[in-house]
Amino acid sequence: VARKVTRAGKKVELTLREFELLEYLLRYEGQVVSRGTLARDVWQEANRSSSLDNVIDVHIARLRRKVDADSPVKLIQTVRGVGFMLREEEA
Amino acid sequence: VSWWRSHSLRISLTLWNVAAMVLVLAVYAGGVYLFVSRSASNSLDAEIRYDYQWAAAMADQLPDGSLKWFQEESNFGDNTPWLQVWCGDPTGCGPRATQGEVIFRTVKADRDPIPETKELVGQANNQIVSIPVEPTNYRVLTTPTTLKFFDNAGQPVNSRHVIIQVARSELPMRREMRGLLFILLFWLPIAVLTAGIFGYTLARRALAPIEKMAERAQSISADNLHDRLPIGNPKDELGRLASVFNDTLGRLESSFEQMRRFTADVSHELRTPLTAIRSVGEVGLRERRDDKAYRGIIGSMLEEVDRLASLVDRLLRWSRAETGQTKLSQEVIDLRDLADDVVGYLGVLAEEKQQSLTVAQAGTPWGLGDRQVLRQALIDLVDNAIKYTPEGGAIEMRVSESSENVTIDVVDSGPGIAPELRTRIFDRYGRGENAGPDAVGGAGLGLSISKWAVEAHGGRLTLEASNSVGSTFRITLPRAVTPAATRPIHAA
Repeated sequence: VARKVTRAGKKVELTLREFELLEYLLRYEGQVVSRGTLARDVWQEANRSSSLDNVIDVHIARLRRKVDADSPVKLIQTVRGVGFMLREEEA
Repeated sequence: VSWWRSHSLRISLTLWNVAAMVLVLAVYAGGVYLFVSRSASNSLDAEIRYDYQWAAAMADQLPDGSLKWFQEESNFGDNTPWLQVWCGDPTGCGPRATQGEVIFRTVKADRDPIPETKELVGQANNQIVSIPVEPTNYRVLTTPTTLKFFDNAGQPVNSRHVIIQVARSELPMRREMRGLLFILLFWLPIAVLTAGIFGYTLARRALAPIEKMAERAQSISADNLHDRLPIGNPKDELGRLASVFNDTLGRLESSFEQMRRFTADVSHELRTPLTAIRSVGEVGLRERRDDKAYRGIIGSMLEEVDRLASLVDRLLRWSRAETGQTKLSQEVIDLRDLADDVVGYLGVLAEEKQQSLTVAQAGTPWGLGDRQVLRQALIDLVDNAIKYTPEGGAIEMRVSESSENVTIDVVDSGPGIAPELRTRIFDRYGRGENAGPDAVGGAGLGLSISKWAVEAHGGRLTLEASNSVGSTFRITLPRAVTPAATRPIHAA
């Protein structure tokens, strides 16, 4: 399966996991996705752990760096204490 | 049966003892009585036959041809025998006696006549017959015989057919037997009683330590589990029982202690996020803020709640596993595969700190265990290693095999664990303190839960080495002889 992600015509290089994460956030665009949901649906881990939370945070940070760093409009939002959400928002 | 069961061991031991005693003594007394009575009866018969021979030898013929016994009978006194002689000769016996008449009778035979003797004469057959005569039986021997008489020169003079009857009372024998019976019956209960008292005392003395043990055991509760049962003689059965109990108490005590410490740790862990939630809330309420600030405050409270929830989740899972509600499986695990899986999972965390996270392999390390549990334990170990290893450091997982075990070492290049903390890291949670409280985060119970988890299914989790250039944790598992089944594919 070929995967390709572009933003404003520019190609974004993503790892498999980053791609799955972005795809999941896009699917639930405008909704808050909790870490627990990501752990279950993207990482397919039955149990949450603090290390998994860290792993998710690192992936979100990387994804944000690749997707949002060069743009004044940020797509990936952190909702503190709840999770993450994909929505257009001015920085 | 219920009556029997309701009695103490002491009583039943005594009763068994007494019953055995009664049985043995009864058989013994019966045997003695039977033997003695038979031999007394035989010796009575022998005496009667001797009496007969004596009577036959004592016969004397007077010049007028009449027969005579015991010239001086009065000399015998009370010992005079019962003797009666009948004439059996068709030609008569002397001038005054004809066939079928009594020729001679001792005083005793006169005094204690036995009417039946006349009948016996008719069928004289050298047999001893017992005839009832008040107050007891008489044994009568009736023997036909021919008495031969000789003159002084030793020439035969004539001979006479007579029937000699001798008898003896059974009274002395019966009296003796009654005496014996009395002795046997009188002493038997005394012997049994003595055995009973002795047996009871013995049983009580032998069982006293058990009573003492029971008393002590009853007084031992969760609060004084350090108490032990008294051991009298460690080599006898009771001593062994007591030491077995003491071993059990020791194990109970240590698991109670472990549980208590674990509960204390858990409470401590739960307290930290709760305190944080409370203080964040208090700070938030102190002054009026804008919407965004409130969102931030609620968010950080939720984060703490999240941490709390995941901690509780984890504890719940473990308590289920501990109480056996979750069955741990025993599957063949390829440790190399497991290590690679963990690298794929936590690799990003190491990358963030520019650390190298690598796997080294020696041999074919196939171990036995529950993959889920081991994976979580390994993840915790590697997560810790990443936290404590400074930026740019190296972490390595080394999987290897020995003849009986397989091991997986997690080697970090962190600051090491202070010697005084090394023995405590698994039970009381101490995070490496020289790392500083801000350097790392995460639930503190990790190591103790991991150790518990690994050991719950036959493995070991140990701190192999720790010094200023790093620490090595080791998971040891029983080796599997068959190869790992299909390798599940784990995406990074």
